[in-house]
Amino acid sequence: MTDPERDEDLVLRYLQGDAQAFAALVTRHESRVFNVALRVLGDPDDARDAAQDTFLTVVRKLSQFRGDAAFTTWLHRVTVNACYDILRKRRRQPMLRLVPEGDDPMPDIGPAVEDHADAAVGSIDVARALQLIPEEYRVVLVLADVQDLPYEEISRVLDVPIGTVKSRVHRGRIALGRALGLPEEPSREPTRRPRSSEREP
Amino acid sequence: MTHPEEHLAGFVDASLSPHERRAVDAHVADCARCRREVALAAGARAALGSLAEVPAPPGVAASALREAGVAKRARPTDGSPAWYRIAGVAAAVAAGLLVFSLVLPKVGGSSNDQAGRELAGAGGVDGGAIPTSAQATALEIQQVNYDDVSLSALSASYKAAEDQGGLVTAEAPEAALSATAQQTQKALRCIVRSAPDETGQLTRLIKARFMSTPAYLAVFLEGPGADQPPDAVSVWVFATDGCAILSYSNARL
Repeated sequence: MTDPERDEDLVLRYLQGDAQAFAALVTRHESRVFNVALRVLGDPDDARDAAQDTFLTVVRKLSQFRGDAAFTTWLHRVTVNACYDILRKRRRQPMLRLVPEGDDPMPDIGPAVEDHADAAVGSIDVARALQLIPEEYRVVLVLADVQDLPYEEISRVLDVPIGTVKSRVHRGRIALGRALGLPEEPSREPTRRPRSSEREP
Repeated sequence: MTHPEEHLAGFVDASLSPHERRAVDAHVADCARCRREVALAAGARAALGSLAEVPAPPGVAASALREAGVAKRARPTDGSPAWYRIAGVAAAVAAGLLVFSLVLPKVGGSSNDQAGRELAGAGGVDGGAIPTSAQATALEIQQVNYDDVSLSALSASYKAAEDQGGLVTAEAPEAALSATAQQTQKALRCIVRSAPDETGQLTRLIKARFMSTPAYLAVFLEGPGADQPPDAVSVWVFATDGCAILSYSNARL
């Protein structure tokens, strides 16, 4: 079996005039982009806008992608920036966020799924609780614990020192645990979920 | 006591080196505060692992794909941007010449476009530069809240119509209402602003809701050119407020 074509090779092919190579990049990454945006923004419509903006930025700036970073790192950076743009708009236009009378005041943030064995909380609760913690924590948690990116890559995506990333991840997890109402006293050895990128093959 | 703040994240997700892990283990055994934090953080990480991946909505990258040149086909109107092809409609609306009708435009081959001919005749619109199907396009108001599934069904309904001989109109909801000229112009402006590269023939324009957001749905028939009948339908969804593209669906005919 041959390895799938690298993102960077698809970028090169697109820049050489093969439009289908861009379609392949979209197919490969649209779910990742949408889910990062959905978990950061907490609203499917805003996530759709952010994903649209992300891919438009990608197609317009792909010629500036120098290949000195992995394509996924750059794509995550563009996605996070698109999310920050929408968060800034929300702050400028708080009236647009008013919930119509009679509507569910909580956004629809994804289907309910069976709980993780150790989580004891539903995914909707988790998605909602994510919206209660500060943005800078939410972004790193989505990248670290939902997308399972290594800290080094998050550091490159956000252009902040790796120590800052680790600190935000830890503070963010604590804030989320409190938002979920998780117990603060360990009843047993805490369950540690290893990073998928660091698990044994 | 100094807490190993920078290593607690890695302690929770098991990304520390064995040496770092032993040091943090020893600290946590003696530090109630760090034990509490580790318990909370591990619970939060496990909870985040329970989040389901949600499929990206269809067409989420449609505008980028079009900009990239994907799915562009040669058509008789190629080279004419959307503003040119719908400018005639806008002008007719402004002049009050376009007949607003609950009769939906027929879909299928332009030679069978009876509704288009009727409107052109009744309104006296010069058919010269305006695609026949576009002449029949008045804004149709529906009390319908579309989502991606019903949007796909809408584009697929054109395939069903084509399969039945190309003479069948897409089904009109009974509650369809007529729109003012101003409303129609506003909808047309959204297409010009947000889908300038769309080269199909505007066939139907609907004002409804999409995922609860007030939206315009613009249906374009697309063909291979050289007077061949259309072979695809594209449906664009724009927010009525701001014209952002909300969704996109297409189907082969």
